Amino acid sequence: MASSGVKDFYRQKKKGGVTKPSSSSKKKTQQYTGGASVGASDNAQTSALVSHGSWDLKDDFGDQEEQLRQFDMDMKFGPCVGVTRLQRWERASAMGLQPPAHLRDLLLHASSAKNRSSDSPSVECLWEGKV
Amino acid sequence: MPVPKPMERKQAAYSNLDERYAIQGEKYQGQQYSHIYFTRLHHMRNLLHALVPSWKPHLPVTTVLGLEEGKDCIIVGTLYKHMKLKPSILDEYSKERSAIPLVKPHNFMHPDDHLILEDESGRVTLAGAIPPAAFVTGVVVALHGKETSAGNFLVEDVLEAGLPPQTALSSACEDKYVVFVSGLSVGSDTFNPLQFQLLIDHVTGHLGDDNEQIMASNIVRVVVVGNSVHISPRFVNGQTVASKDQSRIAEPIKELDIMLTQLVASLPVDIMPGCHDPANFSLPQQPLHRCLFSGASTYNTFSSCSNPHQFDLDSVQFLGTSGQNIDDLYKYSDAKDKLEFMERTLRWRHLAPTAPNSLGCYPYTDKDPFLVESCPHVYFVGNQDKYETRLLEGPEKQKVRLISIPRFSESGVAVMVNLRNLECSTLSFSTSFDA
Repeated sequence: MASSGVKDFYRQKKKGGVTKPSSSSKKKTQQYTGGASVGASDNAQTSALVSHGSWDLKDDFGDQEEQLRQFDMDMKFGPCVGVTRLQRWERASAMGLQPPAHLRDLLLHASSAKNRSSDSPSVECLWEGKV
Repeated sequence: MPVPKPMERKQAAYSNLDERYAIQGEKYQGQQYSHIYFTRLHHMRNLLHALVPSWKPHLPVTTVLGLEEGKDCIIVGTLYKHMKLKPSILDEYSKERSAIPLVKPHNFMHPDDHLILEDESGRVTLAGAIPPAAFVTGVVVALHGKETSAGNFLVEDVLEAGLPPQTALSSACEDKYVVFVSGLSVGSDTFNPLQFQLLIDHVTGHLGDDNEQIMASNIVRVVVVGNSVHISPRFVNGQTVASKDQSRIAEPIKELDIMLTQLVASLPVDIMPGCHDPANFSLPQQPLHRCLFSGASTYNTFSSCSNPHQFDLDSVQFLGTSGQNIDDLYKYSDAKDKLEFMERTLRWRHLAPTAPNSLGCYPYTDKDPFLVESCPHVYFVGNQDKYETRLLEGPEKQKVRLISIPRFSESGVAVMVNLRNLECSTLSFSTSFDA
């Protein structure tokens, strides 16, 4: 169960995900690209990656799934494991946390879509079935 | 001889407020407890942020990750108490000798216990003006202090949410009473059927002369607060029950049903499950099933309720549990009496802060039903060692009658509360002359 799934997101990504800290302070608050600020790599490592040029950026999920993954990882909306993304969105909205509205439409289309191709974003959080 | 005029029992308008404790609508998806902690922190943090300006207006509020050494600030988060003696399932697998004694103590406190504050960004160990003995895991507080060079947070002051707002008691002119009885333990060795029968006869007005009957007619409701039956442990230890014993298992419940039927024929009765009753283990315990009460459930005065139980009678707000929440606080913290634990739960605005850490609880995903939003007028806890009561007064004119209800099978004591003025007294029943 874990084999192919783990390969999916241990792949290095340049866009989104980890934000480079803008000052040398270790404990910097995150900017909202939606990424997790804990575990941000330090300056030296990121610049080394950048200097090597491009790498395999073509993931087998689209931009929509990427946005949903950012939503999953954002700590402001609480833990993501154990609830569907739509439930988490509704919960965040009920708590007044103002989750991005377009994500809800995305999730409603995803749950009603008859074709579950690998392109369509998932209803469940990114860890579903993997932990 | 003139026919005596029948005495009519007083009535009170009743509203059951247990919807928040119903599990019926919940769907378990395999989730863990992180969600309940998240909703608890979020809700309490909003409350505390609103209170901080009137507490320490000039200090910045920051997250744990945003702490700077030596800078005076305020942080808000959930407390975690690290306890050396807290039983852990991992101890069974540990090969080395640990600090845990072989005999489980009743209370797991130890001088080395320390507190940690946690929010979404991180956790920090606490030191200073926050006594671990008075707190438990799961309480959300605001702390004023600063980070030390050792990486701890030195606390200068603690802010709890405090008593929630209360709707004022409307002035009533009549005396109406509610009787609380707890720990009947039908089926146990300590159960005395005569004692329970005396209670029933008194409440239903079959005892005494006119004066006593007038008193009884002023009782508008009886609340049975948990542990009404006691099933012998040898029947519930996992072994198959012999066929001759099978009918014996249900005997306590049948006996309870017979006695309750007498009560419900006369006045409304609420019955709550307790830790020994045939109900689910984790909180909130769901109402005892009607099929257990084939006699009493035919009456519309019979009301099976959840634990915790919340209701209002003539707009007097009642809130109470069968004791598990306070008993758990007793295991993990220290106070001068059970009423102080109860007071703390109101100040923390949470009925059972140790759930789910050491108290079984349903893993809710979008709410925490134990948060106390409005202050009750009567707050009761059942199955305690002795009867205790106090009228707690809050800073915004809240008045709460705190009641610790003793186990009836041991003490023969039931509690009576007057709806008009929240005065509390006992009904004591004894079947021996030398008591």
